[in-house]
Amino acid sequence: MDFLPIVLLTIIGYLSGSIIERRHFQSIRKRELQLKGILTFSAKLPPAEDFNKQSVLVSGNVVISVDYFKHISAALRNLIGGRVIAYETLMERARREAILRMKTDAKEKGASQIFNVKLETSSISKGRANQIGSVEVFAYGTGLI
Amino acid sequence: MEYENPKIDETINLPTEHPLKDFAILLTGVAAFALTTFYMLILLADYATRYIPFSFEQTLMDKLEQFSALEQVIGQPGEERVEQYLQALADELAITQQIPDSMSITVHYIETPELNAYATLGGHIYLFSGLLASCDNENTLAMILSHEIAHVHHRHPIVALGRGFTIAVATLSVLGASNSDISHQLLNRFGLATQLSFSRKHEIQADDTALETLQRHYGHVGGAERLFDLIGNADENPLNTLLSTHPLTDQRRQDITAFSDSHTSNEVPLIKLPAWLNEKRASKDR
Amino acid sequence: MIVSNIEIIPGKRITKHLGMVQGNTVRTKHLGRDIMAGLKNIVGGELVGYTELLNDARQEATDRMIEQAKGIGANAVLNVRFSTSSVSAGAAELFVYGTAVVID
Repeated sequence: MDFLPIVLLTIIGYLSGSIIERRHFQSIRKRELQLKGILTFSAKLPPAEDFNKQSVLVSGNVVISVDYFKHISAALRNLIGGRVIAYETLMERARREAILRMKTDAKEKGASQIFNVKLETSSISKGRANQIGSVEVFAYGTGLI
Repeated sequence: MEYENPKIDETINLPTEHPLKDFAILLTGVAAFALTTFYMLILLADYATRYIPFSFEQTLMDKLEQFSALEQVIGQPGEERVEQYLQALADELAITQQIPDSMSITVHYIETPELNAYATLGGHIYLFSGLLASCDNENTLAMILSHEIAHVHHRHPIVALGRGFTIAVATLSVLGASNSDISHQLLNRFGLATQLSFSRKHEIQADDTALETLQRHYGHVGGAERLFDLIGNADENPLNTLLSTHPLTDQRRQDITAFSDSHTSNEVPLIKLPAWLNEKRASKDR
Repeated sequence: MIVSNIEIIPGKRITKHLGMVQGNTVRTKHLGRDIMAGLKNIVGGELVGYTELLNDARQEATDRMIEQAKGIGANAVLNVRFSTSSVSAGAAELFVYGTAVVID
């Protein structure tokens, strides 16, 4: 009897989670295509001929929560060990979204190239018990105008 | 120098495996592992607890009494005359059942309307006045008492305690390591499920022994099946949580019928309860 | 494939910048390791199991990054950075990224 809420939450989590994930990926692909013109590099310095360009700090961040299905799936995986597929897709979504937001920021500021891109990842609400984890990804770099 | 951002193949970082397939494999694997581990642990605990001397149970119980005044928690102690009568009957049955010399049976009569009786550590048997009020003959009462004596005889209380303890320790060690509420809940459920099914096994074993005792004591097992008329009614009572670990009463009733069919052929008269006790019961029924 | 965490490869000339490539993986260790690590927390010392886990995972992430770089025709990844974060208790994410380039 006590299993029922967990099973129910897992099913709801899977159904809603997969729909949200699919939509998110579709939107990411669409926007990646739109923002193709803005180039990102993790190289520290821009080429010498661009040294006289104006620079501006651009950034983007996103916090994404896991759904209950991913939570259960990861908890089970935790007992056995190995690749946590559920979280890998989550991290990929968060990272691409953060980079996209950084690119959007760059576009608004009129930059077309971003150098020295750095990515920070942190997990929010990890330490608290009974708390479903969520991750924040923060992307930042120097945009050249 | 050229600068460009070509399109990167996105399947490299994204797993291609379907999440549900992964989940199914995980769930079956973990469930199978957890079940076998707990089964092994329980077997081990069952095996080990048999070697705990009965005297240790008694000391443990005495200590518990001192700390918590257990009887007060369960209910008010009933009339002494009834308790003495029950004690005498239990002693006779214990001799018939041939319990080891090291064991002793202590009956406690508790004033509470619940239809229940149970055995606990140190040979203590608790009988609730509600159940006694529903017994109309000595044979049924003897069946109840023999059943509880059989629990003590087979060391069921200490085995159950050992099991509970083992499961608690195992759960804690897993919890301490992974600190996940989900795995905690899962393990708790598995632990409870195995405990339940094992205590059913104990109930059936206690029934068998009790029937043999009755057969030896009275020469028949008439009246034993009335126990389930009482418990069957009690099952509908939501207050009666203690009975919830008992097996399906129908199954147990069938076992008794099978036993009596193979031992006695014709109807036998049941022994009446003492007149003074009957009067008390009658006054309580009203 | 040259993988380096500095900007240039001495003696080589970069002819083409192809942007960022990245690789990630999320891993957990099985329960037995977790229990051993819990015990190790009492006495101290290196958690060999976890060292192994993180090493393997980092290698896997690096391999994925290199695969991405190969896929877009690069022959070197420069300015590589590693980042590690714990997504949930017991699970670690290993992430590596760098700039894919073509060198002579």
